[in-house]
Amino acid sequence: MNHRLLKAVLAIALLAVAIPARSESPAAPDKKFNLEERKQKQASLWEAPRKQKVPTVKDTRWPLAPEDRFILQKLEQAGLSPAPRADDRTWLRRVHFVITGLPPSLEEIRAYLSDTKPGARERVVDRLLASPHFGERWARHWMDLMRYAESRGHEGDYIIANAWHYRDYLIRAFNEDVPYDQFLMEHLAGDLLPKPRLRSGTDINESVLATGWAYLGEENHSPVDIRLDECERIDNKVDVFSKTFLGLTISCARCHDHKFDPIRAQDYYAMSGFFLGSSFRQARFESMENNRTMAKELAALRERFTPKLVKAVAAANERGIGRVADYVRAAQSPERRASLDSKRLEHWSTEVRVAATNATHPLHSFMSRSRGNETKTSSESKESLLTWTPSEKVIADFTQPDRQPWKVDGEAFGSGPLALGDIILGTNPTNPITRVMPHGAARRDLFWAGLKTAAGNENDSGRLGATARSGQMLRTPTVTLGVGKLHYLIRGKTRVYASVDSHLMNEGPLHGRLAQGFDGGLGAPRWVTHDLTPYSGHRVHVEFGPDGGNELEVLAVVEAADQPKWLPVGSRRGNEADVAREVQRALTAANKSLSRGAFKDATEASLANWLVQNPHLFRDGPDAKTVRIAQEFLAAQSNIASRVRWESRTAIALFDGTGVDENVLLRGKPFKPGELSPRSLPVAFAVAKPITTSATSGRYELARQLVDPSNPLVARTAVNRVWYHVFGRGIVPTVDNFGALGERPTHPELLDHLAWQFMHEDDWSLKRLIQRLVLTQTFAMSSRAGDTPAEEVDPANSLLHRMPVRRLEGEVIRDALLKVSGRFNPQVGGPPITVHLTEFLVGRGRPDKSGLLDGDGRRSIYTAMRRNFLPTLMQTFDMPTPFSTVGKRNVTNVPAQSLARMNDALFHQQARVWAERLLREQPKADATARVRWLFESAYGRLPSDNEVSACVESLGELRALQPGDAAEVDTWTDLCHALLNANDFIYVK
Amino acid sequence: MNRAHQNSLFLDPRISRREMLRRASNGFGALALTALFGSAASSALGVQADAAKRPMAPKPSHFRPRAKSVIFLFMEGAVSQVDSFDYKPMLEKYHGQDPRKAIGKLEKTQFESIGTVLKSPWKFKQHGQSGLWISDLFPRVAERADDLCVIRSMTSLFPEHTSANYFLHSGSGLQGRPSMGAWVTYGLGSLNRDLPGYVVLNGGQIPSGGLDTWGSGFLPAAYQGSLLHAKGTPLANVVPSEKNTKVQEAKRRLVGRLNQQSLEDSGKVDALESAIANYELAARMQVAIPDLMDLTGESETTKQLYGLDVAYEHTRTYARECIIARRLVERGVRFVELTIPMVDGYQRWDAHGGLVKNHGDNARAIDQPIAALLIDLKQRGLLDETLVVWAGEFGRTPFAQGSDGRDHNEFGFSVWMAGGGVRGGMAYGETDEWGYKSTVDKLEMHDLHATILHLMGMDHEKLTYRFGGRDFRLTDVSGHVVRDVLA
Repeated sequence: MNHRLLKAVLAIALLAVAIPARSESPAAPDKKFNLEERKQKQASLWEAPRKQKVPTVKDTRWPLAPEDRFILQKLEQAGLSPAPRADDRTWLRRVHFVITGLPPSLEEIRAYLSDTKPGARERVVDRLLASPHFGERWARHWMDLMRYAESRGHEGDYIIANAWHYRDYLIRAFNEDVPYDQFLMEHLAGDLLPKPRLRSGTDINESVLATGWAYLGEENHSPVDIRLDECERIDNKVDVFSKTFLGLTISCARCHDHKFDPIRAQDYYAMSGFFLGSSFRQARFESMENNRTMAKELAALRERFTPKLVKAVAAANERGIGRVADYVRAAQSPERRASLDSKRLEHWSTEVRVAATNATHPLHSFMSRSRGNETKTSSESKESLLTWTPSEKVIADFTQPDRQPWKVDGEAFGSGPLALGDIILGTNPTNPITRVMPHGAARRDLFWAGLKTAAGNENDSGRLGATARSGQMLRTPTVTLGVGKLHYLIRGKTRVYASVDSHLMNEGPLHGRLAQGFDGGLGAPRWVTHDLTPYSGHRVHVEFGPDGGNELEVLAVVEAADQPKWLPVGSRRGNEADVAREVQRALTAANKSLSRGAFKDATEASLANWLVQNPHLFRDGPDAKTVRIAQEFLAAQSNIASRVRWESRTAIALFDGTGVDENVLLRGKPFKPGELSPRSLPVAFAVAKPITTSATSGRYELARQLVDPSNPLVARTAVNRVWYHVFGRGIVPTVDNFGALGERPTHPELLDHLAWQFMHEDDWSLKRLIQRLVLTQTFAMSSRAGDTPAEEVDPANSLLHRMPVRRLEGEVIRDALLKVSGRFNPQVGGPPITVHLTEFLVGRGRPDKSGLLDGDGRRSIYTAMRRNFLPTLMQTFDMPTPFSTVGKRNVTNVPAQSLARMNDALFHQQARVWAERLLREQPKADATARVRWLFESAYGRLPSDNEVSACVESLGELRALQPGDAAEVDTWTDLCHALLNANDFIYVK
Repeated sequence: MNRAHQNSLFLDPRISRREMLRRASNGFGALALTALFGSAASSALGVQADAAKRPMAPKPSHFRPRAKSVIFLFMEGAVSQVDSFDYKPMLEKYHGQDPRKAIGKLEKTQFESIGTVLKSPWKFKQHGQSGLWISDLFPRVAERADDLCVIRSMTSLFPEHTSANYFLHSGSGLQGRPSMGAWVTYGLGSLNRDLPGYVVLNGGQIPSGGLDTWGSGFLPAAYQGSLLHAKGTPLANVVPSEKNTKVQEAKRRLVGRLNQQSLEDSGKVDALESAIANYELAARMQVAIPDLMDLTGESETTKQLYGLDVAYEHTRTYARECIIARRLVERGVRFVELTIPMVDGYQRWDAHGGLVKNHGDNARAIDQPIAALLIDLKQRGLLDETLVVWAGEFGRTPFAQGSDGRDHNEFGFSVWMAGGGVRGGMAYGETDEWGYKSTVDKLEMHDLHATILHLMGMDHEKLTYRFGGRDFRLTDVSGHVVRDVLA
């Protein structure tokens, strides 16, 4: 038994020890894995949620909503009764924090208390759900699942450029109540939807922004083992995805079959494929939809004008071509100059001279022969369909249409490779045809060369260059490198990124060679070599991007030990004795073909190309008809150009590649790949069907299977998360894990009731679900732990005999400080607010400057989330470290929190702002009235007499301790600070 | 305790130990109940449940501990083993030759800039009664040879600082996992009521990987390392912001009254009760931490012993860290970690070039203070119950990077331990004749962790925390206690 295997076996034995003994002993992996047996252990979990009968209860007056009956039924079964109703003010504060994460203002409290008509609570809920702050609150919950951050951690903490667009996408999605099935589709396949969702009133692509979640994780800037590093990144994506949407820990199965759940190692790798077949990009989300339309218009316009233009040009050349033989003869024998235009003859002489020596000149085969020079050229006798040698692995051959899936970001490479003979139109009306394609190629359309990123848009870190390629990128299929030498047959200039093992944070000493520039020149296409030999055996795809305003044609991508000789452009040898006549005949034929729009072969297309590029050889001035048509065309093209959106911001997003199936890796390590595991949802899902497409990653198909209403976990996971946020505890308390190691639902029928209703009655509306839950009698209960027997019978309150007392999250505490003091800045969305640096926020990659202490009054969700410089106050209050899905935050109780309340500068600063506001708004009020005002602002309630007298006494004490010159506001600041320190400020009852 | 309760504890994950305590409440304190359960009860979910409520309460170990506290001297950037604790005469013999010829096939390195075989610029000598080979890079530490248990066969999985730092600290190369100090404190609680359980003394250098190197990951935040600056303000928010201490006291009295009333109104909800206790602890920390950092009570002899009076600034910084480390251990803090001073900018021990200056200056900063720490702990009878661990994230290549540096090498390197139940004056394990790869008694990071936990009285397989559906351990699914190094 080798060392690794021994370790694996030991590991399994140890794991078994680490898990508390259960009635069944954990199955050894592989051999004893019995899918059906495992599903049976949690049979109902693996079946689609069913419509539930609403239970009957004894106390029929208590329930307000069906959900209450599920709760009451269990309480009655346990011999308990629900807690009494909380008072109006308590309910109002609670519902405010749940829906918007902000305390109610004095005005909101008064409006509610004075609304005595029926439906007052419904009106409050409607108002809160319609508030833009609702989206901020629930987006932040979702960001915990997506390990949201704006930098990549590790040594340099490099930024994730433009990550915040994902955050704003969430805020809008929640505010607009995008149905959850759509929301999920967008996360997994927002880039692939036939009809992407547009931002309301615009043509900005919203859907694609959702896919950015995949790249919010950490990245290592110079991993020595680049493949192992990829395994970690993919693992993180699978982990986040499966916990968030499925409530399953599929990544447990990376090293071995899951210990308890019906998830095999193959299932983990089957999920990995979806991400391996996709890659990173900076998407031009603001311009992509508009420009897609513009590209279609442009294509139609060109299609309309090209036949007219080629006919006109061909006609204009016809007469001149009729005299070619004379000019060729004259160029060769000076005595035959009579009756020829001397200037044109001069041109011809030059041309004939060049053609004789330059093997790539389209007339070379004629001229070399005519001089009696019979040496064969390398291209001679080669045809465009010559086969590759067996040692040349063709990764992409764009000279042939449909040889590989067409993968481009943006419009700059058109809708497919150009074919031999395709016409390129330029912007010069006297000579509108700039090129006849002598070969097929993926060609950069310079119409789009003016694309820009908007001011303020961030460039991505390191050498990747994704921002520069954005909207102008051509991608090859993903392949596994053999000898590791890639050869590109190109014409023009390009910046290339060879994405080996999907490595993207390219900085540091090791992987610089992945990003390179190449120049194929502007003559015939040329082979250039990208040496990736250190990555032999690794997966790669290649991204071709623009290099400035330069032309670019990509013909082929080949892997081989030596540079290939293959060229698509051949020239046939003539066989007539009279070379001059033969040239004329060939050009006449080429010109006819041009006019017709179809060429016999590459030679003819090359000749036509040469012909259109050298009008001076055939005529003396512009052709009026050509110019007229061209001007008409150019005017129409300018009109399109004026409607193109040239500037756009970019956002991190998935880019769809080709199908990649991952091998099962022993112990999760890449050294020993096992069998292939085709892409699929885990087979435990009845809806799982293998996804076999090789032309795409398969994410779209996967997403369809997920939102199928028969999927047992998607809706249950979602409604359980909402329940957790509303009631402080999930029906399945382990909100990220419904599997065997999670906790069992306390109210399984209620969970199914909610899931069914969510899908079939409420059209996956989260707002509707939240509305239903906060309007229950259950939500209206008091949180007071009482003298009732309930505390004994149900100490963990898992039956919900009362509402829980909950501590506010770090972000909410900070937001409440700002709201209460009056400093709150309600602006929604936008770039992150620079974190306020203290002497304790240190390390490599530290931001250059510190933000304002109060963060400009903006909500906490907008604070910059630099992984190595997370906002201290919020972290102290359990904001999770963004490394993987955290559906349920820790709620700790540590001295650092109390120290922050006592001494943190923000608490002191906001206490003063609040005191100033008090004196401004209550200048004449006496101390008692002011204390009442403060209580109501901070805690949403009025003080008891005891509390008033405690405050008034304390005020006297504090005043006495002030120095002689202290102002009134100083004393009140102290009192305010104390009130912000009291538990009622950070707890919700 | 009746059988039903035991069953419910072990078989039903829905019922936490804390809830059980509530059920069994009258007359039983937590410790009394623990005593009834024996150590088994404190494992797994029991500890986890307690952790949420009273994170720092002392908890029983799994078996009799050899050490009460750990002082971890983190040598960030990676010290060269062949220049310090692993003597290799072959390097002198083959100095200047092509390592691919002399050593054979080389593993990939970070920079792939392979120079020649490089002998150590420092002289090795045998020290103490044990005759341990130590170079004159560490002359003072060498004098303590008989206290040291040098492990020469350590390995890591990562040749890159950040992942390797996380791995050394948390047993995982990824960010966001609990650091070993967090695990130790989670498992044992603290013996001090007024200080955090896991303290990191910062000499200036913050490791690659950032503050998360000392994070609590999925463990409650109470266990994360509290960063105390050796110089300046030691801890965030620990200095009362009111100029007049009476103002804060007055406010605290008011807060106390309001909190008490709120607690009564709530029907004495747990969360509010512990928040009150916690607020009081914080108030005490405002006194305890400045007291800890105030060295005026230390004797002149002690200060000189550590090197507080020497000319080299960085030695003084590290001396201060070492004295404070001792004071923390005296106060019952479980896990103390020291970072190195900013000797060479951000270079740390990471001598990709200029080995002599880099290692020379770093050693100069830490050698005397570390030797003094060992002496001082011993004099005070603390060394037996304090485990001192000296380790970097990996080692360095026996051949040069460029002409005068050494690249990263995770295949074999040296760390040492002292005190706290380990055998002094011994060397464990060997690398090959070049000091390149571990060959005899090869150790992995998880073995080191298992051994540290063992010395603290904990079984590394039983110290678990359930998160996201899995029971996590510091040692993941590996690790063996290295019995041969136990005293």
